[in-house]
This record gives sequence, structure tokens and C-alpha cells, in this order.
Amino acid sequence: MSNQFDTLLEGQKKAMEFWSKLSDQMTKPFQPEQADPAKAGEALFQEWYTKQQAFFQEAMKGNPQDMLQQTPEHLRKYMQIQTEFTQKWADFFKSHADKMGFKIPGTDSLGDAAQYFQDNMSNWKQWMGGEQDWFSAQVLDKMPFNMRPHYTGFLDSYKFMSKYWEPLQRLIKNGLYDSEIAGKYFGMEPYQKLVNQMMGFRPVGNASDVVEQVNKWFSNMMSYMGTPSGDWKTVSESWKAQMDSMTNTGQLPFFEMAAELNNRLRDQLAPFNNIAAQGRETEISKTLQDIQFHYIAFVLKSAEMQAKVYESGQFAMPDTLRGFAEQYQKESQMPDLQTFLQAYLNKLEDAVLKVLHTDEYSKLQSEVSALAVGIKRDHGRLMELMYADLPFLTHTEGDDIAMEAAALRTKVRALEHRLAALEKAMPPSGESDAEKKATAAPVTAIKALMDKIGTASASDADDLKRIKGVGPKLESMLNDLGVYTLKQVAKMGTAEYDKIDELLGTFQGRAKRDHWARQAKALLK
Amino acid sequence: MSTTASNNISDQLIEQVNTASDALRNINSVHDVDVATAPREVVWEDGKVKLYHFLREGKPATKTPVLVAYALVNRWEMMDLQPDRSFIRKLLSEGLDVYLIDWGYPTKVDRYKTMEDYILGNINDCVDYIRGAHDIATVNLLGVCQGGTFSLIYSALFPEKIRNLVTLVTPVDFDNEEGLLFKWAKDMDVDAIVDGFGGIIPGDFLNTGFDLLKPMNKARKYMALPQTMANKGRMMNFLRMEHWVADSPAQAGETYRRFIKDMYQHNKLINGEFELGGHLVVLKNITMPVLTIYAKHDHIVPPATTKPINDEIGSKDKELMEFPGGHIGVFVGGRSQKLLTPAVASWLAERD
Repeated sequence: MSNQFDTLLEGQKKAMEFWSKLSDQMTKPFQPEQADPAKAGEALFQEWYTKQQAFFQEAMKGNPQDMLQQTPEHLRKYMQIQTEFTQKWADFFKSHADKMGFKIPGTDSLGDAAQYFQDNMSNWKQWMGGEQDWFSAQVLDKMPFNMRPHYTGFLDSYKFMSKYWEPLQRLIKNGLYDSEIAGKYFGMEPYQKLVNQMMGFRPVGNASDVVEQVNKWFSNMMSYMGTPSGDWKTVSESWKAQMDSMTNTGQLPFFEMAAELNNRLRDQLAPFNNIAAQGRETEISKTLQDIQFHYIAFVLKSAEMQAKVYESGQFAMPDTLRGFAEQYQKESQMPDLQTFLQAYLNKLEDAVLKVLHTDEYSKLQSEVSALAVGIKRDHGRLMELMYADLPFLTHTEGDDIAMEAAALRTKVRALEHRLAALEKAMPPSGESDAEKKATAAPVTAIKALMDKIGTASASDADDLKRIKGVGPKLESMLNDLGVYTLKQVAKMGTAEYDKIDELLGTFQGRAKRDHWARQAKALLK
Repeated sequence: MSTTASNNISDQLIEQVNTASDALRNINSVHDVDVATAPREVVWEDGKVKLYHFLREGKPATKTPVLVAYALVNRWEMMDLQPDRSFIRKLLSEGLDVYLIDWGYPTKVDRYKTMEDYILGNINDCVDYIRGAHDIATVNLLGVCQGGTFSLIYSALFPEKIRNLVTLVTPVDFDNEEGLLFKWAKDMDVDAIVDGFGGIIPGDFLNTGFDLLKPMNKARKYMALPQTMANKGRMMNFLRMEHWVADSPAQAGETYRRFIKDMYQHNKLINGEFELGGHLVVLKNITMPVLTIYAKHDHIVPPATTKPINDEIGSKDKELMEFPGGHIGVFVGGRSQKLLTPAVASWLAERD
């Protein structure tokens, strides 16, 4: 960023240095005997000082976020004060330097200083011309992409937290009895916002509003499909009325009741789904209902989980304030924002961590995350159903590919294993005979196996996964050997188990341990 | 924003403006965040998994190379995060010959990739590659965190291929309530999670969990940001760490499901009930020299989950080493450079 901003900041620093050195020098000759110029000079400095003080008081008002945004404007004003003073001082110095009894610095250098500010002012004006555009163009847009989230993260956090600084200071000074401020800034709502911001909660808000929105979304979806279901609407409305009456009485344990009702409604609706449990539209409608129920359950559970965390930290702020207020009463020492927030965050974190360590929180978190990903899964399923006619590879089809890849990995490993064993067993030379035998071995072994249990083909295939201990991978490996049906498995004995162990090279002893044949016979009955 | 000692309001303002301007100047000079800068070459690969051999000047001081197996969670770049404080570079300068497995970034097609595929497949292939390339019978294995658990399992199944085993901050006794991850994983409905995500667990999901271990860290980090960024070196290290945190690969669903169920929920490994590819994993089969390193203030893998390793293995030559720091300090801290890496290197050299 070799541009005006750099120059300007450099100039700003140089100017500050220049003025502090100069004012040191200038104040030295103000001895009593040189009353007149000293007084005039003092007045000049006093004016300069007052102006600056007023400026800083004005500039320090408000929160640091606003300050940062107004920095260009503030710097401009500040430079103006300096320029004015330079002019006045240059005039004053020209007329009084000899009376004060020294020659340096020459009038030239002061002329230069005035010029210096004027040059900078023009740079400054150029910069100000663009204002926010300049800031975007020079800073934000040039910022490396990986830096931007940090910058905005910082601004957000800082803006949020620094908003409270002024009222916090008032509370520290006045004790904790300023109920107006306490209510305005440290009520439930701002506190929850703070926790949300820091823990990354997406606040659930008012549960009944959300339920209403879900209902709306659901009826929209139903009308989009063109088959609005009367049954659902009736149930939904009575349900909503019931929810309203429940929340309004305020006497029932809301979360449990609502969750209970949710489950009951689900059971009641199940038969409707099964009346014509075929066809895509029925499945779409069923999936939609699942999403809705899961979503409502998710909202309720999240609210419960978040409420636990909110409750936990509610004394962190008053405790921190009390600590600093006591310190202020003793030593009149006000902490800076950073110190205060660090103390507060430590207290809040201790309190929140206590909740995070409880069994209750752990269970709620598990339920909330299971519900959330459940909704995601159902939503994916819904999309798959709705766009089933389009030539996209669906998740289910992708699943087949992934499964085949997994089976291939296992198979390759088994083959490598076998190859290594064969290489080891092979005599150093005269490989041909051994090699023939080795390749022939599996073929012979498979034939022997088939002779015993009978052949079958993929079209007769049973679901071999129904046998306990057989997963998708093992099933596909068995298929590769030519074992497709339960009938084949039922005919196996110890010799066949051993053959399978030998042929697969993996899952050793599995068939014998799980008594496949016995299981297959039972399944065939 | 300011931690200035001055009570003078104008001094404070000027300091703030200067800090902010330094910070702005610094962030504008960053165009890339350099991590993993130690020179290396890919010597073997299988799909997304790669085996790196780190290049070195001159011959190594040891004849047995060391294979580093990092966790599937997060990326191995942690071991070479800052050029001036790199675990890998330090191992190299201590005279070791270093290989490392890069697990890559699993995608949906890897949803059925199992622990068998990782351990009996990838790790075994890499070990065999190194044995072949150096014409040696045994290699040194250094497992990190979850990679350490994998390394223990591997060494129990193939003790004849491992000369020495080092585990770094490795969980083995999962029956623990003190670490939040251990507590939460016990209640986790892992089937719902894996199936709900369609068989591939996004890195963000894991990161959310890690964030909650110290819930206010984000707020702290951003509060200190202007000061951090005002110093170029500190800012780069901040960015490197952020890069690493955000660079969180997805997890293959079946491996995740198995690891959570068999390890976190049923603690099968230490109870002698864990099976891999049809073989029971018996920790007593580990007879080679073993060095177990845990971090005293580890909040991700508490020492209590690591220490029991040495009581379960069959080795006569075994050592427990405490690192005075946290989980991450093991890799990037100054003490890691001064104490840990030289100790690991000399332990291995003595048993070369």
C-alpha cells in the first residue's frame, strides 16, 4: 500500500515528533524576564492545547467502532488544528524570535513545516474525496481473502461488546443500583445475544412463531405439490390451537408437553401415510411431514439447550461489575475495556463450562445434533424424490458406487495378501509350475465349494446381510465367489467354512463363529 | 483496544491510531499464508492418500527411517506450521529420516472407507514401501493423536515390522469423563449423525465441537486482534494457526462411526475386545520399545486417557514422557523445539 495513506500516517508521526521537540525547545526560553512574548506564546499554546483537548473529547465519544469509521474525518479535523497553529506560530515566531534570544530554527525550516502540512492537507483531501470508497478500495478489497473473516469477525465482536462500555463504566461508578441502565443493557435479551454471538448459537427465538412459520412452509410445499391434504390441515390447526393455549396458560412444563404432543401426533398420522404407501407423491408428503416434525422437535430441544447455557452465565456480568466497582470505590481506578472484558469472559467461560460438563447438556446436545442432521438427510431425500426424473446422479446411486469401491478395496487387499503369501511360498527359481498351481488353486477350490452347496446366479440373489455377521462388504465378496442364496449357505459345513476363509483371506473364522448355516436354515423357514 | 500505560487520553488515541494503522499496513502486505514449507517429495500414493519423504541435506544419522501417522482429524501441517518452529524440520535437523502419511481430503465416495482400509491398507502399504525402499525389515512409527491409536493397533497386529513406536498425545483409555469430547461422544447418536450427513462428516461439524471446549476463545482472539496484527511476525503466526484450524478435512463415515462406537463408547481397544479385519487386537503383542508422550495440560486428549498405554503393552523397554504444555503446544511451542523433539530423536537414535 505505497499510497497516500502510508505517506499520511508517516507524516502524522513525523509531525507529532516535530511538534513535541519544538514545543520542548520553545518553552525553554519562557523565562519571567521575557514576560511579554512568553505570555503571548503561552496564550498561543494554551489555545492550541484547548482546541486539541476539545477535539479529543469529541473524538473519544461513542464506541470504538464508530471511532474507527470516523477516523478519516477526525484526522482531517486534527490536521486542520495543527495547520492553523503552525501558521499562527510561524507568524509569532517571526516577530518574537529575536526577543526570545535565539536564532534556531531558522524561519526557513518553519516555512517548510507549514508547507509540509499544506502538502499533506492536499493528500488528505484527495483521500477524503473517496471516503468509504477509498476505504473499501484500499483496505477491504485488497485484503487477502483469508484475512477478511477475521477482520469482520473482529469488527462484529468489538462493535457488540464495546457498545456496553459506557453504561458499564457508569455502573462501576454508581454501583449496581442504576436499574434503568441495568434493565436497558443487561436484560435477558442482550445477554442472550452476547452468548449467541460467542457460542455460535442460532437462536431459536419464540417457539410458537417458529412453529407458525414451519406450518406456513409446510402448506406452501403442499400447495406446490398440488395435492393439499385435508387431513393434515385439520390436525395441524387443532394442534396449533392447542400449542397456543398451552403456551398461554404458562402452567404446563412447556417443552415436555410440546415434545410429547409432537410424538403423539406423529403416531396418529402414521396410518394416513400407510393408506397408500406407494408412489413418489406419498413418499414426498411423508418426508415433508418428517421434516416438519423433526424441525419442531429440533426447535424445542435447541431452546431447552440454549436456555441452560443462558441461565448458567447470568451472574457473570454482575459479579464482574461488582469486583471492579469495589476496586473503583477503593482506588478510583477504572479498568480499560480490554481488562474488563477479559475478566468478564473468564467468569462467563467458567460458568458455561460447568453446564457443558453436565450429563443433561451432553444428552441435549446429542439429541439436537441428531435432529439437525436428520432434517438435512430428509431434505436431501426430498430433493432426490422431487427431481428423480432428471439425469443427475443421486445420493443413493452415489452410495452404490462408494460401496463398490469399498468392496474392491477389500478384495484388492485380500488378493495382495494372497499374492504375498504365494510369493513367499514360491521356490526361488523354476516358477512356472508353482505359478500354475497357485492360479489354479482358487478355481479348483471354488469348484469344490460349488459342488457341495450348488450354484446360483445374481438373479436368484437373497439378501445375505440378513445373516448376523454378514455386512454389505462380506456379502459382495461372497457373491464374487458365486454364493448368492440362503439355500447355498444353509448347505455349508466346517469344510466349506474353511474353504471360504481360505478364498477370502479376510474375515477369518467369521462363518464358523456366527454359525451361518444354522442361521440360513432358520431364515429359510 | 488499548493497553497503554498512559492515562492521558490523547496518548491513548494516538496509540490506537498507530496500532490500527500498523495493523492495516500489515494485513495488506499478506498475500499468502505459508504452512508446510519443509521440502518433500511424494514417493507413493493410493487415491487421496500420499506418502511424503522429507528431503534433507546430507545423510541421516540413523539407518531406520521414522514414519509419521497423523490423525484423520485436522491436517498434518500442524507439524510444520511455522518455518522457525517446525516439528518436522527439527526432527530432520536432529538427524532423522522422516516419512509422513497425508490422508488427503475424503469425499462422499470414501463414505465406506473403514479402519481396516486405513490401518491394514494405507499404513501397512506405507510401512512396506519404506521397508522395500531401504531394504530393511523394520521401521520406526510415530503416531500422533488418533494416528497414535491407529499406530498402536498396527503395531499390535504387525509387531515384526515395527522397530520402535512413539505415540504423541494419543488416546487409548476412552473411559474418561474429564475431557468434554470423551463425555459428549458417549451420548452421541453416531448412527444418526453418520447417516444424516450421508456417510461423510463435514470438518465444520468437528470444529464446532472443538470450539465448544473453550467457548469464549473466539471472543478473546478477536479482542486481541489489533495488537496481534500490529506485529508482522505475530500476525503471520496467527494466520497460520487460523489456516490450520479452518482446514479441517471431512471424515469417512464408516471409520468415524467405528472409532466413536468402539473407542469412545465401548473402549474396546484397552479392554482387549477390538477387532480389525477379523483379527483381535491384543496390545500385549506390542513388544518393541515404546515411547509414550502426553501433554500435561491437554484439554483435547487428557493425560488420563494416554498414560495407561504403558500398562497394557508387552514391551520391556517402555518410557512415559510428560510434556509441560497443551495439545497444540506439543507441535508449535518453543518448549517443543527445545525439549520434546530432541528427546524423541535421541530416544530413537539410541534404539536404531
